[in-house]
Formats: sequence, structure tokens, C-alpha cells
Amino acid sequence: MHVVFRLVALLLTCTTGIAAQERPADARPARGSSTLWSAVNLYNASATTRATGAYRIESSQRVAGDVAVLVGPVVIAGEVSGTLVAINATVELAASAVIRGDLLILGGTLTRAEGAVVGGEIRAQSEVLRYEIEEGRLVPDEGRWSDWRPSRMRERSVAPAKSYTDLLHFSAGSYNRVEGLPISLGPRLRRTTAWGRVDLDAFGVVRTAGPVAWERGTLGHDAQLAVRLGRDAGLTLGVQAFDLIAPVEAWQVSDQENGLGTFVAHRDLRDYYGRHGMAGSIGGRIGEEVALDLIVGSERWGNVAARDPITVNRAREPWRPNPLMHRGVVDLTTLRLKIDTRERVKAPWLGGWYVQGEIESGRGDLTAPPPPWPTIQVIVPPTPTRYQRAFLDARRRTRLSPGTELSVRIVAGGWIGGDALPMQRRLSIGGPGAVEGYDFRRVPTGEDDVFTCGGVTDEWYGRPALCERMALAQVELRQPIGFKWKLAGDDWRIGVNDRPSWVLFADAGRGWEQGQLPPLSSFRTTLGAGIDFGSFGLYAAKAVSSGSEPMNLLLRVGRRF
Amino acid sequence: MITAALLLAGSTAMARAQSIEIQLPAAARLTDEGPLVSARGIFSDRYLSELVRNGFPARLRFRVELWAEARFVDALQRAVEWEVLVRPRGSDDRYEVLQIVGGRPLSLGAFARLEEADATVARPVRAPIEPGPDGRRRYYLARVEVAALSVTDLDEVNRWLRGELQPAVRGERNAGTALTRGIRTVATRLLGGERRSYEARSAGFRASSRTTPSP
Repeated sequence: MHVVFRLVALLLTCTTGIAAQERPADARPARGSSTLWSAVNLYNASATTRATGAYRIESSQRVAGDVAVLVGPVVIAGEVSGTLVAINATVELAASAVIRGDLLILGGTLTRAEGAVVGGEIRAQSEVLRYEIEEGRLVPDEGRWSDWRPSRMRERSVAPAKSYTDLLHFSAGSYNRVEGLPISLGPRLRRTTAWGRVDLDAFGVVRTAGPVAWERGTLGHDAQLAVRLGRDAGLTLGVQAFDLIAPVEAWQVSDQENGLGTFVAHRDLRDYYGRHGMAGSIGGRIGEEVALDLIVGSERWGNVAARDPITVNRAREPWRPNPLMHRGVVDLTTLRLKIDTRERVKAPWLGGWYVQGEIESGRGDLTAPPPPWPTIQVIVPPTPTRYQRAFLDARRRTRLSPGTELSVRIVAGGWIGGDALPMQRRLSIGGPGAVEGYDFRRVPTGEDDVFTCGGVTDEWYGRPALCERMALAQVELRQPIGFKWKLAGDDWRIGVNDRPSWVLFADAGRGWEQGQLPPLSSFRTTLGAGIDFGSFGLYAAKAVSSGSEPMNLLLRVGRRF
Repeated sequence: MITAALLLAGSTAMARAQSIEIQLPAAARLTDEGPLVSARGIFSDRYLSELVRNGFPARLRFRVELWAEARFVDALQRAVEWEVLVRPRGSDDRYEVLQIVGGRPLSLGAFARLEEADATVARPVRAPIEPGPDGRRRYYLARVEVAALSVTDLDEVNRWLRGELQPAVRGERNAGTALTRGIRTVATRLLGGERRSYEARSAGFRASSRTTPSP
């Protein structure tokens, strides 16, 4: 279509006046037709004087012929013997200004002093003109919807995939009770080529939680090389070497939320383990919407202890101990699928999905943590372990009308084959992000432990998640409230600049050990309501499957899911 | 109650100052042209204008949606997006205004005064999002999200502009407020950014071969 428009522009140049009526049938109707094409023709005419940026004709100056200015601003105090064209520019005519021909303005405004003379016609079209300059010629953009449609790429960052080199890049992970603030620093580069792109990161990791020492509790590394073949769709290849601390379950609350909870409220809702090893991956992607990766690696798992990071509140209280995990070397093969069609509009049933799925197979010699009983020290030998595990987090947002959304989320996962899952792959529910009417890692008195499957007893160090399987369903309805929050004056206030929405929600879920899906009547359910202020939300959640459980009040950062 | 009064007080004047407007095409052209969309008075906000004057770029993300009315659930049919970036240029003390569509920037000028940049931001843009001529009752929804870019974003912007759009963002900073800004930046990053949004909905219309606006 660009070719068509180039042709159109060429024809217009040669046949001013008639070309606007003789555009090819498949071209879009020109916006503001006659003014636009007259201006474009005049700009491209060989005899026209062209300028870009600020343009001024003093009162003593006289410019012969036609004048075309891009961007401007244009200030005329002298004389133009022909026509003046201003594109995406404001025009100011002083009292002494004389324009013998027409005055054409696209994407700008006119300020005219009394006494200014325009011999011909004045035509102005306020809308901005998008164009390209190709070989010195101005070619208006066609205004194709495909150029303007929402893009996940642009959603994530201002920057499209450009090449860069940062010799010393800093970034920080989520604040937690094991690492404090994990700071990654080191070089990174990206090279964008005609066939795709290459990313190389080589970061050292420094953990700020005390005691800080030159050892693996404080130091780690994360180096990655990723090659992407194809721009929109294609293959991805990658290798990674790492010595990191990873969360056991990260699906309940976001990194940001857990980091804030740890730093501000002395409340870390995750458990952690050490990972040290290498992995390679091969995958494919379709744009930014679908990615499928196969990851093969070998890593050593280890225990990590809660340290003493800085917190704003309750700094003198002890942290919840980090549970003991399986230790040893494990070979992992993981198939990971990610689908994100939330920006898709044209296909309502295909759009609005966010799905993350994973199937993992692990084998290795692992040493299980000592059982909670007896209390004497027990030496547990490594045991050959093979397991298969699956996990799915599927979300769907449906916009019922502008602002009104119905969101549904299904999370399910756990053991699908082999030996029992290692502690690193066990699951739990309860607390923020998962059946919020119940507390995190606490079972109401007299009830079965469908939340951690036995981990909350005092015998277990750190109240670990022990479920082999879990399932959770969440439904949420939200709608904006019809007023804006503004504090006195016009200052922006962090967190309350967005339009608030009321939210109604319901959760149902449970965990269990190996076996079939338990009866739905055994699932724990919660009803709740709240207000989402955009950056954070306040919610009240009531457990409805346990009448005696008191109502929970929650402060959530960002959307619930 | 006092807080509520404070929250609502003082907002009236600014609510009038900043807005996004939708102008429908002439009835006969409803199926040929999308609406004109313009955001007015965005930089009359004191906090945002201070940030930009202190070297932080501002990003305006426009989104226009075409909705079809239905008895129970309205249907979102199409959406378009574009961005306008206002970046202070330390090299010549000017504010450059860039319109970005599909990752391609178009300079709309560089201005000595922020008010001129604001007026440029307010120039209407024709959103290419026309309805089909099927006679359904529809409406447009336009939203602009205004964000003061943070340090991380600045880094991204710098990398992005390093190619074809030199000079990159380099602003003079006020050392006296650096600490405050630093704390606010950290809090901003933790809480998801400083941003404000404005929204407008057009009148309903029916687009057909002989289109007629409907009340």
C-alpha cells in the first residue's frame, strides 16, 4: 500500500487539481482530502522552498514562490509571493505579513494579526498529519489500522527491540527474608539484526541481607545468552548458568507485592531454595502472544536459611524460618507454554487470555529434609528420585462494557507421575492470592488441613507447603466508581491517581495429597469485596465454608490477578 | 469526612483543565473516518509540569476503542493506540514532542516553552478506527494515560533514542530535591508508577451507507 501511496503522490505532483479525484480505488479516502493533497503536492513540487523546524520571514524579507514548512513554528512578518504551506506547524502572521497566494495549514493553528494580508484562500485542517520523507518527497501515512493496533511489545516498554550495550547494568529482584534485596550488576548487550536478535547478560548477584560476607549466601551469578531467530515469529535458543535463590511457589502474589510485604510488614509469603547449575533451551514464539520453550538443565538444589534483612516494622521479631528442602543434583526437563492475548480485540473468544502452563520431569539423587519426628538428629541418605509435575495458571478477562470486567482464574497443578514431589515442587493454598478468607499457613481449629496438607503443624520447620496437588478457582467482577481521587491541589499522589473501582470476588480451592480430585464440597470458599485504587486495593474477605473464621482485611498491591 | 472533603475539594478546577475530547466525523463520513481525539491542558498539572521541567520525559498513551452496544454486554470491536512523548532536551533547553505510532516516531516540533509543547500535544489526531456500515449502534471510548517516566524508563528511552533521535534525554536536575525525588522514585517503582488517566465517551451513533447520529 505504500507503493500505491507513493504512486499517488507522484501522480498528484504532475496533475495538481485532478489527482485528488483520481486516486486509485483501493486507496483510503484522503483525510481532509483537498487541503491535504494540495499541501502535499505543493510540498513535493520542485520549485517550492522547503524548510523543517522553526521558520521566520522578517518584515524586510521577501521570498519568491511557494514555501512549505514542516513542524515549524512559522512566523511571517515579511512577504511570500506564492502559497505558504505549514505541516504540523503553527503559523503566526504579523501585521506586516503578506502572502500573495493561499495559506494551507495541516496539523496546526493560525494566529493572525490585524493587517496581515492573505491574497488567496486560507485552509486549515487541525488534525496531525503522519508522513514519511522518502527520497526527499513527503508521503502521507495511510493510517492503516495494523500500524495503530495495540501491541504487547509497546505495552511492556517504551523501547522496541533496539540494540544496546550497558557495561554496568543494575537491576534488583524482589525483596525477601533470605536475600534481602538481590542486586544484579554487570554487562548486558542486545544486538538486533535483520534475522532476529541476540541478548547477552553476565550478572553478578549481591544479596543485602545480613550477615554480608564473601560467600555464597551473599554472592551469586546469572549469565544468559539468548538468540532469537525471526522478528515476529520464530525460534529461540538460549543457555544459562546460574547460582540463584528461587521461590518454591510464586503464583499466589506478585514479586512486587511480596517484596513490599517483606520490607514493610515483615511478612514474607514465600519459601526459598538455592539453585546452582546450567540450562539450555529451545523454543518457538508467535509474536508476543504465544511462546513454547523446552528447557533442559542440571542443577544442584540446596537449603537456604532466613537471614536478617532490614524491615520497617517488627524488625526485632524473628522471621518465619525458611523450610528445609530437598538437597542434591537434579536433571530437569521442562516444557513451558505461555499465551497472552489480553490485547487482542478482533477475536473476542481468542482474546483476553493469559495462560502459563508447565510440565516438568525431574530425576536425581535427592536428600529429603529430616522428618519432623523424632526430634533427634537423623541422617537421611540420598535417594534416587524421579517425578513428573504439571502446573497451569489460566486467566481470562472479559470486558462487559467500558470499565466493567469479569475475570476468571483457574490454577491447578501438582504430581502427575513418578515418586513423591520434592519439597521444592510442593504446593499450598490459603492467604493473599489464594482463598483470601483464610490466613496464610494457618488452619482453622478443628478443620482438615486442606491448605498445606500437614505443613502447619509445629513439628515442621517453617510451616512448609506439603500438598502434592492443588486446585483453585477465582472469579472477580469490577467496575469503576464515578469520581476521581484528588488530594488538595493538583499534585499527583502515589497510588491514588487512577480511577478507583469496586470489586466483588469469590475464591474456592484446596490442596491434597496424591489421588483423585476430592469432592467439591471439601473445597474452601471465600466471598469478598473491596476497592481497587489502581496501584493498590483494600479488600475484605470472608470464609464462607468455615463460619467461625473471622473476616480478613487485605491490602493488595496492583490487581488481585 | 475531612479527608473525603479534601479529596474532593480543589479538584474541580483541574478537572476542567485537563481532558480528552472526541469529535465524531460528519454523519456522512462515519464509515470512512475515525474520530478526532485530542487531549487538552495535560501540562497544566503542576506536578507533571515540574517533573518535565526538571528533566523527566512524560509519556501520553492514547487508546481509542470502538464499542458496539448490545442488550446485556457491549462488545469491544476495535482498538488503536499511539503515544506522545514530551522530552526535555538539555542541549538546547527545548521540549521536543514526538508522536509514536507502531514504534515509529514523528517529531511534532521542539519548543522553548512547555505551554507550546502542551498546545502541540493538544492537536487532534484522527484515530483510524472506522465502524462497518451495518447500522449497529456504537460509540467510541478514548483514554489517555499520562505517566512521568521514571529512572528505569529513562534508561529505556535513552537506549531507544540513541539511534535515530539524538540527542538522548538529558535533563538538568535540581540537587535540592534530589533526595525527595529519589525516595518518590523508589516508591513509585514499587507501587507501579506515577500515572493519571483521563477518559471520554462519544455520543452513540449508527453507521450505515447513509449514516445518522443517534442521541
